[in-house]
Amino acid sequence: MKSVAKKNGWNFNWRDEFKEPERDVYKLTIVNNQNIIQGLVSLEVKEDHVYMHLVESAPFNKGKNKIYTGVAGNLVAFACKLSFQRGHKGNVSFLSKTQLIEHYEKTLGAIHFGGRIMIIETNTALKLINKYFKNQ
Amino acid sequence: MRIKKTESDLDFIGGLGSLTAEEEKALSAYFKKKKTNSISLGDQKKSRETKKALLLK
Repeated sequence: MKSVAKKNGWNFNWRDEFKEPERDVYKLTIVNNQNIIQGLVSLEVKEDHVYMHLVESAPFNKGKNKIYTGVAGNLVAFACKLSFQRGHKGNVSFLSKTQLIEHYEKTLGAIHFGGRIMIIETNTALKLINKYFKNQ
Repeated sequence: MRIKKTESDLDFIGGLGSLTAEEEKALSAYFKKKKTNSISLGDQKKSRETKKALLLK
């Protein structure tokens, strides 16, 4: 985890995220190399859904020259899976900047709930899970 | 408004802090309503099935 720092190209302060007791941080790795973090997600299980505090692809998985595509999508699908496991029917929420609302609607199938809130509901959650976890 | 190049891919989400109390309340009300709707729909179906079973007797 030492490599996960702003000086190494990460945008968010993941060390602080680890310190939040109500949140869990999950890492995405590839099967053959579990030491290299491909992306991170910080999740909080709420009373009726899962809230995504942060999702971030590793610096080498960002932009045009990324090594792996779909890292963030994979992590969002994981959040949906966790939501089903906790009995919340795949419902997930997160906050978005105004200019990215349309982008999240297109790439994730998320719905603009209002204000800065985006939600992912059951059917979309199932689609994402089928897309990223179809071999499990 | 121009979107930063780094934000055009789905590379990250968040960084806007936690939900406010008002946002929490709105979401909670929405999910609760959704849950109630699905339960009542289930009950209606069950009720129809019971009615059908009674009619068959």
